[in-house]
Amino acid sequence: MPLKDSLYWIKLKGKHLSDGIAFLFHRLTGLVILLYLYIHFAALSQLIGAQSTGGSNFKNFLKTVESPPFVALDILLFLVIFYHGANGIRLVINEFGIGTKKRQLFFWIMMALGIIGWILLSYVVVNAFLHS
Amino acid sequence: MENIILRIKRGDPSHWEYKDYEIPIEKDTTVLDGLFYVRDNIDHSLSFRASCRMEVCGSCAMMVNNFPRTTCSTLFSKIEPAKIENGKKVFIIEPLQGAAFKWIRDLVVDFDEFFKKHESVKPYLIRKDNPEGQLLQSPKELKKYYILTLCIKCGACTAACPISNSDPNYLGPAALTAAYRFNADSRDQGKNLRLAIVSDPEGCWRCHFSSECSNACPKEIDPATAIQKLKVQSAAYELKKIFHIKGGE
Repeated sequence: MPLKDSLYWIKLKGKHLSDGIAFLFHRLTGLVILLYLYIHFAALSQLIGAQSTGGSNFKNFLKTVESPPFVALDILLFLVIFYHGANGIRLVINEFGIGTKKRQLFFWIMMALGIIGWILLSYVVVNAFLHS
Repeated sequence: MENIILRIKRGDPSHWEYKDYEIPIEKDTTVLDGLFYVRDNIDHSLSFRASCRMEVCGSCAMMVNNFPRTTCSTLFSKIEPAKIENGKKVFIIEPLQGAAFKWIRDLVVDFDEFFKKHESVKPYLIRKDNPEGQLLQSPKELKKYYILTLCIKCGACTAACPISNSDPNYLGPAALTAAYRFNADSRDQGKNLRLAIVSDPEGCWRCHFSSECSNACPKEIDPATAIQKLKVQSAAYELKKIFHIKGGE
């Protein structure tokens, strides 16, 4: 697909946030998660050969990512993942032909559940960070 | 009575520009009325397609303020202007967008690709036998698909769909809705023939349920729901095929 054609993702026509914009956010958050996975695997690749070096590289790396800016980025990443997950579950259910007529309401219910999950997980992570 | 500006995309793919036309409108003036006013009184060279003027033929769908609409049923008084310039409302009229429509001139697009896709899903009753007399159907059976028969093939759903616009091979909401309409018809016996076509990766599974088609449909037939139901049929068909259960082919 030519890159210019993907611009149609953002030329939204929908009347409802739960339709066109939800679709756009789902695609964008998917790309963010994919990018994160690459970074995650690149970080884990530092464990290759760790036995011979004592894992010092990886320990230094862990110290960096346990700093407040990285924890803040992690919390933002949770938001992306919870959005993608909650909307993804809605889509799977809708794609079984269930609740398609009430898709706007369904979207907001899933968003509410996603935000509750995000707040709870963020609380656990921040709490663990403050007490570490 | 008030005067508004119609900003119309004029020309063809080799050379085009937006031209402004000031026209008078009343409370019940449709966008199509406005286009006829321009052609009859200001610029006779303006090209656009229209026929029935009552949302039956599906000829006059265009992009009005970047949203696909049948212009015969769109009142200026019911839509927001794209902008206001010098105290006058501006409405932007463009041809239907998307890979399924080839722009020819002014507001006219070629529907060939759109109708080829529609034809490819076999949008007609298929019978294995050769029945004599009427094929009876109960009101309950009719209700399952009746709303889908109201499709006028105006192309608004396809122009609104972000997948149709970014993937020229995707069958598109109009064709998929037609496939479901006949699959849901109790008189039809060609369900598996259609499912073999729409189960393709460029068929119903390419739909990512943005629901833009349902928002754009002037007849409010909800193609998005029809496509999701088609996915359920398609999944059942594919599973039957894998496990060699009767009903899959």
